[in-house]
Amino acid sequence: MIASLAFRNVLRNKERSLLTLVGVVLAIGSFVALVSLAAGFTKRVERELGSREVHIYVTGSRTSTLPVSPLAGAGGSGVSLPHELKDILQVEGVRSVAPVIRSSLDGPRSVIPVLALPFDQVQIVFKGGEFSSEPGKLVPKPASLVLGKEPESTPEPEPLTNLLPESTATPSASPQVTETPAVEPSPTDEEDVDTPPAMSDDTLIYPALIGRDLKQDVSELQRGGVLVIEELPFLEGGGMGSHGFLDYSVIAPIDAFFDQRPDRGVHEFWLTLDDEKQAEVIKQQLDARLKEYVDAKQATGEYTGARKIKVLTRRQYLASAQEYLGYGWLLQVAVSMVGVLIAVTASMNTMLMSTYERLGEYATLRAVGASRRVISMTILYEATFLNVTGGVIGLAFGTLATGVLDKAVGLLLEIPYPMAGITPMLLLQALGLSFCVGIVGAVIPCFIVSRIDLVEQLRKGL
Amino acid sequence: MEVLLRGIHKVYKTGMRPNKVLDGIDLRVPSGQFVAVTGPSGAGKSTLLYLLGCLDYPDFGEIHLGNRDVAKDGEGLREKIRLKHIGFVFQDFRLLSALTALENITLPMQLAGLSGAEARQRARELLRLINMERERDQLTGTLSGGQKQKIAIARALGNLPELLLADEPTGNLDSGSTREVLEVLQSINRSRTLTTIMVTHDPQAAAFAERRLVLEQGRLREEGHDSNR
Repeated sequence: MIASLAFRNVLRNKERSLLTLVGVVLAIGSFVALVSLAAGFTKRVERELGSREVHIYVTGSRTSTLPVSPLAGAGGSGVSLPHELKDILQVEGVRSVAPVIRSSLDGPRSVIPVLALPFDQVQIVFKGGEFSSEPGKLVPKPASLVLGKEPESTPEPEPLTNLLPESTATPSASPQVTETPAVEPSPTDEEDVDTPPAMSDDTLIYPALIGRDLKQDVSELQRGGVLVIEELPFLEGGGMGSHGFLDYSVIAPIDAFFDQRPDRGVHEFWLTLDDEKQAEVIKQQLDARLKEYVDAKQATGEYTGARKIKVLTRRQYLASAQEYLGYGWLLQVAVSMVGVLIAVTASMNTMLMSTYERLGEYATLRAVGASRRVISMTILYEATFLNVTGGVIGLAFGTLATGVLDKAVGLLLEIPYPMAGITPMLLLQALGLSFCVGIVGAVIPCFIVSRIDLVEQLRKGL
Repeated sequence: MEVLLRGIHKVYKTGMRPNKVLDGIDLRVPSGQFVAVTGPSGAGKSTLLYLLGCLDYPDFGEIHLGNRDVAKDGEGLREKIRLKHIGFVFQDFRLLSALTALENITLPMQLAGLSGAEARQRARELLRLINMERERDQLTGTLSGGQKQKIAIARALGNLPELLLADEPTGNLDSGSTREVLEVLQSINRSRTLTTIMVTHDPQAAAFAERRLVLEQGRLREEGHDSNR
């Protein structure tokens, strides 16, 4: 009966209820849209970090720990670590050390010829091939990259031409095509370097990819295998990969590149250990070694000022990434909370007006025996009904808005993949938020009604 | 339910001057009696009714409903007394316009914990009693004044109260409806031995009561008593 009365009260002033509903829909919709972006990005980061077989990270102090594009370059991730550190980091218990530069697979601005796998499939991207240079510019030789999977799960390399659209798979599609070189396959991290995975050498070339926008093809290439790239046109432009907001940003060990550009530093070193339980011990050893290294450089005057190199275990790296993500969350939630506050105000205003209009009715209810609790429940039901209805519509609106926002952000920041992630938990949170908006909106009206002077209201008449 | 008032005082502070409305009221109403209280406007008739109905507290004095001095009870207990033992009828009906006639009647019953089915069954009986079965599903805004007041009486009777308080129940009605409503009140009082206290300024309405009191200058005096009614 109380619920029925509350429902009818909502319908008594349809225009006002509708306006409140619109406010709640917008607030909940914006909450879903904004938080889904933060949630999607967080999930992406955590999935990638969880999937890597990397136990220790060595980074420069200015390098951000966000692992994936689009924000991999955020925080001024200068290429700061000398490549020669690779040897210093090779201590007992370290199975492999992979220097890493972050870049993007986006034509001329890219620097590293690698392809992205879905982050949950990437174990590590191995170096391959080699480069040679001519004065003035780099002219690469064919390079091969083994896209990472554990050796036992890596299928026999498939002809990539079979995986790609026919129109683009023809070698003649590109003027840069050359004949297939003999390419040595690259090892995977758990494979003996002397026994690389088998690969055929006649169908793996896909030079038509070079210089093209690979985005549409990458989904096909995500199946793994060996890719031979004949030419690296981006090097001719001389541009280094910027940390643009691009999809298929790749984190790849690129020893071969450093052979040609020893002056170039790296963003990070990824270390794989024989036993991850030793990570903390090895980290301490590495800290000591790196301190010695830096001290020696400073003594010779090679370094001036402080040069910080961080050694982070996987857990610390994730925590550091999560700190960055926390700021993102905070921003998104703060922005969406502005809308929620407006909705709370609208809801409270509606409920206050409605309560003041109905003080006489509430007094009557009290007179016929309704307790203050029952009256408060009527108001709460009314506010909750209004706001949760708005919340449900807001979920639908937010889901649509997320798609639009995702596209808008993608266009503005050059993120071609959908980043937002709407999860059942997010929808539940949004629904809970709309419920809370209703409750908060009803608090003051409930307080007012609990303190009404019954006699005064009954004398006033309805 | 027997009603007993002892030394009731009530003062309203309006502006700078206190207004002494009730000045030592003593009254005993035996169980089942139909009492009409008349008096000029502002004499304190409604105040007396609100005190009896546990809607207000006296400044001094005792209000015994049955064996209980409700003037000393807290609001939580008085809410329960209002709900289960007292029926209230107002001059301006005070029906909830969002609800139908039937729903208005069932509302206090459901507040008292009756199931929907039980409450509806009892409400239908009450509608039969006041001869308004056909209007049960109408929103109360569409009913005439007399019909509304009869619905209000039915609502007041829903929880089988022992005390019925009516504050100018015919004040907003035409003569035809006035008679109809008073006959209903009289009939209910007789059939249920329900203690009924009606405040009215209309001597003709008061004539329907078994006992008539006049409230003047804060005090009650007996005006007539007709035990044959």
